[in-house]
Amino acid sequence: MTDSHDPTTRDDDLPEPAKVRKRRWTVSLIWLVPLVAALIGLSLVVTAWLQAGPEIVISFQDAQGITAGKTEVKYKNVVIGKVRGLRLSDDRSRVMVTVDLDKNAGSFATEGSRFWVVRPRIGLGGVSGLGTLFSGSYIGADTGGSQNEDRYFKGLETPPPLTHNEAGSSYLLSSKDLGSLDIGSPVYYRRIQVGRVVAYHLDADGKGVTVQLFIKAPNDKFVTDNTRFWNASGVDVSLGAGGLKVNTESLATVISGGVAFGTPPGNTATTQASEDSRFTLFSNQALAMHPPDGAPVRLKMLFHQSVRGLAVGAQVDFLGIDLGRVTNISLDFDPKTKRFPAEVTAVIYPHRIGRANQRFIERTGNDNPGALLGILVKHGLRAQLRNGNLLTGQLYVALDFFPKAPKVAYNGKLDPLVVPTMPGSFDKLQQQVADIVDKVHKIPFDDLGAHLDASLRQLNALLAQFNNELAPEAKSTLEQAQKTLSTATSALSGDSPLRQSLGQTLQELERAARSLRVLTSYLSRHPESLLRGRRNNDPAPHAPPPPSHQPARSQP
Amino acid sequence: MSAAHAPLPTATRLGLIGCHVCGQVCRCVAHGKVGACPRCGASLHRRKPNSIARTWALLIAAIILYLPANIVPIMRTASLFSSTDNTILSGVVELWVVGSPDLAVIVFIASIMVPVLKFIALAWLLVSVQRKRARWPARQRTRLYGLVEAMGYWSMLDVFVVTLLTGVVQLGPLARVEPLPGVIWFALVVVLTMLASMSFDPRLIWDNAAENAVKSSGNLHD
Amino acid sequence: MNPNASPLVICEHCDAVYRRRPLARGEKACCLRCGATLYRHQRLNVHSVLALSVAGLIVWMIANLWPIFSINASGITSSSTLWGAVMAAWDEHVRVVAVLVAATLFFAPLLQLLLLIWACGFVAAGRRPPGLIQVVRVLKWLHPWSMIEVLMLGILVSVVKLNTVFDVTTDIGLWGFAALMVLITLVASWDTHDLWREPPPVEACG
Repeated sequence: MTDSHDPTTRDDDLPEPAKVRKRRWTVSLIWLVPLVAALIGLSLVVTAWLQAGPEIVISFQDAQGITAGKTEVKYKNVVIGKVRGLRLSDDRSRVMVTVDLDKNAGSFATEGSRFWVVRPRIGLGGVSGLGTLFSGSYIGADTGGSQNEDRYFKGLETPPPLTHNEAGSSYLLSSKDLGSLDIGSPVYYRRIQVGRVVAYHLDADGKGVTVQLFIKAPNDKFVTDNTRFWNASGVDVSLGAGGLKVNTESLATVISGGVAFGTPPGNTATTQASEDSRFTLFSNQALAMHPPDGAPVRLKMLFHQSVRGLAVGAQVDFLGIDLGRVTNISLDFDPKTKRFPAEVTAVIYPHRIGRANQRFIERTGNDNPGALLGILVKHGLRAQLRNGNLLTGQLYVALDFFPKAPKVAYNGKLDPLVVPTMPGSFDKLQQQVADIVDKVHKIPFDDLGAHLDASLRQLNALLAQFNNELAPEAKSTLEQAQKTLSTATSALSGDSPLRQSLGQTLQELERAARSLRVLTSYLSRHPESLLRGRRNNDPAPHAPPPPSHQPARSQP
Repeated sequence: MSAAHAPLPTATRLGLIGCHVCGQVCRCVAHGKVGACPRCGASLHRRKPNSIARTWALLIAAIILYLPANIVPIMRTASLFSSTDNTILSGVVELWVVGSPDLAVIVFIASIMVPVLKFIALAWLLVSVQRKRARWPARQRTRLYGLVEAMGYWSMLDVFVVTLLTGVVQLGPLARVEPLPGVIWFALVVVLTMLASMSFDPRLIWDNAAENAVKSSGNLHD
Repeated sequence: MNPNASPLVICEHCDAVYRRRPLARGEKACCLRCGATLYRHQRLNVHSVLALSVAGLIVWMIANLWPIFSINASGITSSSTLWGAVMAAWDEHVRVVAVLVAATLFFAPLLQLLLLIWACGFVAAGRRPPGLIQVVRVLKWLHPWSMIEVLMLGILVSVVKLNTVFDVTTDIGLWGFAALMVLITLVASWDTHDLWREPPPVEACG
């Protein structure tokens, strides 16, 4: 740092040095700086331009969650574009979202591509899109696969259940009603989720619902023409005559409903059902797997008792086989007897009996159910209400043979066929119980009670008396008795003199008896000896030798 | 330092005025108001017009605004669970606690010390000029002024930080930064102090010093 | 005074008068009285300044088109350019600050560069730049209000503050502003008095 000051010198008489213009090289060198800057800028711009893909416009009903310049478009969680701007459509009915796609996402700007906004959603597949609570919504995309370019799309309001290139097959199910199914409900095979419900709609005639399923590959090969589908929603709790049954497919089905499928045993078809084949949706697995029922036969029964506990759908049981179901219960009025019998109609499937049905048909050569039933009725077939479950009082209809049943007229040509009935065994039980109750009722408990009371009082007095008066005397008596007993014991003990003499006496008596017996036997043989005396050559009556004297033994 | 005592020719004494825009030195005839620079046309002033009054006004305004600038929070950080308001001081403390003590010191110097020092320096310079007698030599005072002028604009640091954070931390409910009115006060304080230092004319220091030197030299000679 | 004598220079801080002397490389002339810098040796000439200003303009565009830095919190990212931050401040109702930041960081450097390109361009082509007077006045007035260096420090402080919570990634804008800071410092420190040298010197006022 040098100071330079020259307030007063005059330097105007010194010549100025010659000015030499510098070479342009230094000038050129400095121009490298903007050149480099320009190059860098250009490369950045070119890179950005190269990465820029097509621009598309998607229309949505609502721009909620979409921010210009921030919201991204993602496919399989990879960012493929960004929203550039938003504006309302001309008629203000929709929001037009301008999106810049990446270069490598150009295939999304084609016909058939679908776009939707992913927001937090609570639906049947579960809660989805929660991450967008923090990160902000994004636009999901799915390509259509076509090659034609398209720039204008109508955005979906809900995510589509099916993405385009998912491998698998879709099938249709016919059902009476939708039940608890919805888009996204799972489809299970052997309790593993293999697909989901993708769409449903009412049939044109309004008599049913068609549900469209999608089964993911490779599990779609398990769907054959023999496959049965059933509604596996929720928890299947059935309280029937068979008892309490709880059945559920999975927790997901409890929440969101579900469909399961399987093949009834014995079916061995292996070719996959063709795409969009139609199947029936059964209400539960038992129904679905049931072998075909054959033609139903309608029955009508008149019960002269209360049918409380019998519900529509109750079982019709034949010797333990589930033959059918009750379809209708109503009251009839019989003007003759002025009573209201219950009229129960049911439908049975004779096919369910199995081989017995076949044999029957072969034997009688007649497969008219009316005639067959007539034969059975002649043999005592009656319908009876029985108690299925004592706890709930549920009843079912049992068809059983009662050989002692009174004969009834039967008309095999009626439709529905009328089956004669028998009062229910439960009724009898009730009656018996009633009788017992009556009998118990008749017992004069009051009188008995009074007498008993009096007797007890007397006994009490007696006992008191006994206690106070007799007891000490009894005590002394007992003591004496005890003494006596001990004396007797000693007297009667083995080596007591009393016993010995007693023994001797008994021996003597024995001898005497013996000889007496000899004498009597001799006399019986020689009765004249009483008069004549004994002859000399008559052998003397021998007394058998006395048994060897055995010492008195204590009684065993 | 050699020539500190030798009286140097000043433009005033020589009757010259320099254009503050183009540097052209002109000779001026009369004292007081002069016309435009012949080269660039900017109006020529011997001294910055109304320097002391303007500087005082701007300085006092800045000091008044400095109080809300430090009390009112300048920035709010809102996240899912909590929201914190930060003043300038708490921002410094946070930087220190977070583990960057060096940056905390820098921000402290820039945002708190520099404005305060500017207040003190400018006020002292003004007082010294107005009192026409000061203990510090003029040279040091001029250097002080040079320092104030050079370092003034670094106080804008916090304003820029708040703006950047507001722009970048926009993550919806997860994390958001919003600026609070305190930052306006602070920005105004910085601008006012910058204007104050720009309107102060350091040559006034030397005018007084020259007078004193003349007086003292006059006294000496006696 | 002799018009052919070296031009005079007056110290802005203490009013002392000197005669301007050419300096060697790296030297600067200081006032004897107060020590303030009178003038420095100019390494740059008009052509260099023009080149650097053009570079600065390109860099200014890069710095403002790309985001400065971006943050990432478990997959959610956010980034902002300088203008984006200004707009955010405007939206947040601190409009005074938004205006100030835009003025000092966006417009001031831009204007400086444009004006320099204008003036130096003409001078380099050998012509007198039209409106030179206004250009120089505005340049002189803009100089203290162009605060790119403070922006760099501000970016540093912001990055450090955010780095504790988020994943911070620097972006192209940051490097742009760094380069802009260097270029602006170079060209803004250039003595615009040099612009007057090329045309013939003007005589003293009366």
